[in-house]
Amino acid sequence: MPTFIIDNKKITADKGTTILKAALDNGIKIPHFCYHEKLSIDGCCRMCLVEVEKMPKLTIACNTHVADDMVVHTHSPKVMKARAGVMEFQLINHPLDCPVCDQAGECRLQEYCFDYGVPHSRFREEKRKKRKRFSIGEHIVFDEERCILCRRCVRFCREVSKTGEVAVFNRGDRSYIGIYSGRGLNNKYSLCTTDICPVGALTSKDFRFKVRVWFLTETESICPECSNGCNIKICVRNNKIYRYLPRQNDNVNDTWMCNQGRLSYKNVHSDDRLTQPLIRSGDKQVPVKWDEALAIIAKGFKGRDGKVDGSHIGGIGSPHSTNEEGFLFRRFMRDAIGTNNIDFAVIKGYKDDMLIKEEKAANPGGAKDMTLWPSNGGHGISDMIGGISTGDVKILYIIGRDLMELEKSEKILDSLGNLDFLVVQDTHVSDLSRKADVVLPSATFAEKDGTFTNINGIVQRIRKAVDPPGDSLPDWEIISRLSKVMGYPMEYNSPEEIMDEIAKEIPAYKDVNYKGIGNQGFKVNSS
Amino acid sequence: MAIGIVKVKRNVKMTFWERSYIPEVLRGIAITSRHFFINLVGFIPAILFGKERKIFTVYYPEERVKYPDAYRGRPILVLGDDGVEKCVACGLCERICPAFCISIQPAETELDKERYPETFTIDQSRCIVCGFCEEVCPKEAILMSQDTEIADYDRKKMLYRKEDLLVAEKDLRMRQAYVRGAFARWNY
Repeated sequence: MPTFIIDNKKITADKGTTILKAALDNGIKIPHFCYHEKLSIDGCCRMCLVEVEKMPKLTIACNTHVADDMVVHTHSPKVMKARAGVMEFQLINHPLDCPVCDQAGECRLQEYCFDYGVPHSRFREEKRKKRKRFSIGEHIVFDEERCILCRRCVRFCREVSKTGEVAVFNRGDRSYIGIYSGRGLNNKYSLCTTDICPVGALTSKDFRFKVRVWFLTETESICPECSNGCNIKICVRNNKIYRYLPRQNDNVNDTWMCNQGRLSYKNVHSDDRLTQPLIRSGDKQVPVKWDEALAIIAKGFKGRDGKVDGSHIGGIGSPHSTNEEGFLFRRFMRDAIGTNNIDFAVIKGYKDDMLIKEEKAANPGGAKDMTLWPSNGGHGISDMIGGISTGDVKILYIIGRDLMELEKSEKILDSLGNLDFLVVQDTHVSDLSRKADVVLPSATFAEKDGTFTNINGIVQRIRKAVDPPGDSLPDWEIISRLSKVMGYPMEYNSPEEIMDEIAKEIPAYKDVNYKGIGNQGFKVNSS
Repeated sequence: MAIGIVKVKRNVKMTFWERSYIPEVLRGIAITSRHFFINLVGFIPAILFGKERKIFTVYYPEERVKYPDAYRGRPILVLGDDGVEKCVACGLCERICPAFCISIQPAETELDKERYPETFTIDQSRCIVCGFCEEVCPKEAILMSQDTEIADYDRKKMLYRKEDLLVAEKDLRMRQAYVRGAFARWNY
């Protein structure tokens, strides 16, 4: 393990570590464009020049391994002069687009220009003209003039997405980033290139010109689209989500996320959100207040004799709910209702060997851990649906609409019509909610706190980023209120208290608490 | 603290003439009266003989005083000579505004400037006419005008939309020249 000195600070790093990596790990800033922790080293931007004593010339920090007794200066006068020179070269052909450019505010070139550049340009010649603003993929716009040829996108497509459609063509100042003919930058992870692009050359068609990045507040959360649980930041302005950005977590998603997950923010603000509790009145569903809706449910669950007969009631949970909500739902069905007919449905879909997983829900692992399945002779989903026609099941309480994506969904929908009483608790209007006697509006993952357990058993936090629309409430609060009306109070102030309860009851989660989860997750031995 | 009376020492040395009081009072009344009568009838020679008027008072709102170019009235948007607003919705004025009175919704356009403000609203009831937006604008697209008459009975009417804010560039040459001179040392 070499020990060396950098900016008068003694640092020990593993053999084979580069100076740049060691410096960044220890909080020393070295500017860089082409270096990215998760990509191979190219060394083409020359921005990370540092002075190493006894070396004849300045050297690039990203491709120099540390050695014993090395003495590195990252901000000596010689280095600063060289950096100013490099900045001048980078800016020779860079257009003065900052007012128009969408990267402004998170642009490396802009930041380093303030920190290391020279205020005046000495360049008097004609700037190089190249193509501006053209589409190079389904989701991406490319501006050739702004590109500084750091080749991050090229390396990303070769090494991470392994599609390799991008390359550098031509030489010298005529060189440009291009796509091989007949192809487009259309891989499943293509929008990651807009993240890693240090300038505004690659921009997302979806996010372009929507809002300035400096107005956005970021909330750390988890992507809800599949069971991989990619770490994300939710970017919000004025209670509206504008984009998701991936967040680094080496155990889950490194620094990447897929396009589908990234664009799924639109679901949160879609027009077909449920905003008020609805009850059936003839053929129509009319909006009511929460108290009224809950009272009707309590009445509906009870038989003619005023007692709840659990054997005819079934509960279908959701893999989109958090662990806390799954736990409350199971407890409500077992203890307040007294039934073992509990199950949940998961939609399966496209998967690959990188990030996209088969289960298209955030928390199927957590739902399993919270034992949302039939036990002690209870019925599963197919038995419950089958039991409707035989009269075994008369009342269903369904959270989420994943049921509708299963095979023979039309048949399921038909048989649901024969139920005595159907309660649906969901975020969006669907065929299922239209069938229901009572509809309860719930909050999406971005509107509540809680935890998700991903496919590898890592428990991760989601945090509230925006307010739920209208009267809708988080699932845990709805269940808790309903339970109180049913005469079985389960009152909690926050999901954190529910998690403490889970830790007591479920052995695999005994060491889990919100502090321990932090922003990188907590591994449990999940079933 | 107890309330007391403090006797202030005034360092006033008056001559005998001044201390005799009456003549000075009469002199004051004379000055005031002279201005009164000049204002009352002073316009007559201006109308009859076309002479330059010596009085300062103007007959507002028919007549108006020309403000100096450095004067900051309500901010307006510049409509370029090509009939398109100069603004590219970069959002710097929205960022710098200390009263949070500007709100912009950017959008994409097919023109060369790529970006334009779909909506650009200035809440004139909040604006403190500090001129930061003008100073920070990289495109000389927002300027302070000479217009001061913004009062209204309804706050909603004081929300100025893009259409209300646009003023043709040819009417703004003086202010443009002033701004270029004033911020010249920052232009690089």
